[in-house]
Amino acid sequence: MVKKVCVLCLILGLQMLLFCGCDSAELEERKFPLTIAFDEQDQGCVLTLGLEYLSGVAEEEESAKEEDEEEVMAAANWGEAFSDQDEKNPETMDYNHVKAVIISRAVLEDKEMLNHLLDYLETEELLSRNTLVFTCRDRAADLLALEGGLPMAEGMYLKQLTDGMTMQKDTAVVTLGNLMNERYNRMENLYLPVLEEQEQKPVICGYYALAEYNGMGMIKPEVYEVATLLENKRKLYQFDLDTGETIELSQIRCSGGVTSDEEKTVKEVCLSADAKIISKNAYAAEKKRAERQIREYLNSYLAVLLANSLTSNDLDLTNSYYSLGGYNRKLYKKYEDRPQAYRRNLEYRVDSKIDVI
Amino acid sequence: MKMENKMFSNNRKISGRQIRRLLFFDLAGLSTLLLPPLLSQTAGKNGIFCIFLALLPAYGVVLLIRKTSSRMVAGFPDYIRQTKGKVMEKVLLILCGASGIVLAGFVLDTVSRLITTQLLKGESYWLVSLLILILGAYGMAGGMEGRARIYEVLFWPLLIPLILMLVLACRDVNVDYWTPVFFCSGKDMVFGTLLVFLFYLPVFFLLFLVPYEKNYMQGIAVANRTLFLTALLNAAIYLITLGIFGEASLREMKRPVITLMSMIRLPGGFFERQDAFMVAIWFFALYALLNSSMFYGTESIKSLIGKKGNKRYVLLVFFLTFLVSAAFYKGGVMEW
Repeated sequence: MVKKVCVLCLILGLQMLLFCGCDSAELEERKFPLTIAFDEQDQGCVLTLGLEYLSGVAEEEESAKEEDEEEVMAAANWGEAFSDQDEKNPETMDYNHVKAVIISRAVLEDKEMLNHLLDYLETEELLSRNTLVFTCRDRAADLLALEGGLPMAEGMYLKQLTDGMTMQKDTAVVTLGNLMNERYNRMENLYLPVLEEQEQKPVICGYYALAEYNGMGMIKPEVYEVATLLENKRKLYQFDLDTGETIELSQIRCSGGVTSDEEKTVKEVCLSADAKIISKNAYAAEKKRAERQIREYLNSYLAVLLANSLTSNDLDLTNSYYSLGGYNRKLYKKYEDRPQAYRRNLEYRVDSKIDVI
Repeated sequence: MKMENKMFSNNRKISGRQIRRLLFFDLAGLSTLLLPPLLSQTAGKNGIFCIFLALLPAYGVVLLIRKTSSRMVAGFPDYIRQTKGKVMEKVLLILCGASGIVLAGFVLDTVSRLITTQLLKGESYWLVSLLILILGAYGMAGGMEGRARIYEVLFWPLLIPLILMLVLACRDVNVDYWTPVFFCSGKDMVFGTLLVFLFYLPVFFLLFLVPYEKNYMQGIAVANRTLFLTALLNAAIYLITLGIFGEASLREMKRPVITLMSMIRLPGGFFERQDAFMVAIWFFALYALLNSSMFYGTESIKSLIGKKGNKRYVLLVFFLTFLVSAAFYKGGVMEW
């Protein structure tokens, strides 16, 4: 019995000696990046970290906080950039609290660079898959420089910006996990919010569309709203009728299968929702007439937008390709791994059922 | 010591419930961790069917064990010697010993990698491996009854958080990722089924549990049910990981169920790093399988060599397991 207790104590003691991490930095000395910006430069990459210092927050070292809110590292590749960053700040970097990453458009459009970045992040498991993803027109690091003028750390600010978009569901928000999945799955649309500076604050000015992991260019916020509406990622949707009334849709449900004949493929878009007339003019319609008006407007508006998006951006706003397997096996077999061919023959048939409340 | 004897029985027998829970951890620990990406690579979206189809050969193994157990008097090696002769007994014991040690080595490699990548990043793989092996040997020294008691108690504290996390994960599942089904070749389905069956094979070690059972039918009675529960758990995890990551992405992942645990947002947001807590579930489950395989390896070698004693065999299995684990690590079998 005594021998057993001694052996157990020895094992526990050894483990305590060897696993305690006694040489790691104290909490106040640690650096917590809340935002990371990824940029491209000539034959290399630039990593910019927007940092939060606990000692700075405690106002004990105000000077340190003012001097070093960003850490910039340029290197030949992402692995080197992160390693150099760790070497410069040994045992102090803690990436567990990163809220958002800003990937510049140049990096997004350079597939090799983007793949290397995602490979590195996935292998090292550096960032959480729930990290928000943004992009920008120019340099991502320029947006991090705005942190000084914000009421809080930029990572928290961007998170609140996303949380404040109450008209859309959580599933509409693009995370690092979505991007990592889509790199392999290559069957869906992703819309990355594009940030730009306005009055010394980062604001979302549009969305960068990725279809099957390929860049399709920027789309306007109103097109993004329709895309999320048609993908059942929207809680509320507001629009104005030609007669001036503002309509708000709720209890939104968008469904519809995919059919085909020899020549074309037709995606049926069946939208059902409750409609509330927010502002009424002097000629406010009775319920049945209002429903007909809203229905006709929506059918026409959506049909035109869908067709334009397909023609100009080669973008299927209904994101129907990835669910083809469930709707139509024959079509899935025909267009397996050929989403562009699928979109080439695609047409839409829109029908909406509106209930004015 | 007297107090201990009065509080706990020490008759080297384990109950049906203990067998069931021990067997559940033996079967579910490794399969839930490794099966999803492997199944995605073979049968794809039809992997869910392979998980249940593999139950058929597994039930066949249990039927074989049942028929053999009914004729056993003093244990499996003794039975083989009496029915097939000494040569067959030696061959079978070598096979069982080798498979126990290889399985133990593989499990040791898996759990060491899990700890060095999820919990103790940057720590030495060899140190972690050695310490877990020491713990494993210590667990073995506690005997079958001690291990069975511990896992009987740990069963619900480990399973309840896992089920809770899986239920929370269902919110993010996209059912379109499950379709289309029956869109792979028959060869892929067969290969997927065989792959799943490999993970159900630890049920074969029930043969060595017969001397520890009060009644030989106890183990058989619980084996089929445990296999089915394991299949249910694997099916749930496969559908959830497939519905969240997608088939192609799931194929490329190393430990999707651990990644899944890190993504789940608990209501209230009061618990941020639950993935580290959830890794503990797999640690205990894999530790149970490590113990079991080392135990069966030791029993086989003890019966093979025939000399009395326990420590020498434990030490031998200890070293062989470490060597096998090192071979798996160096060989990069799973490309971790």
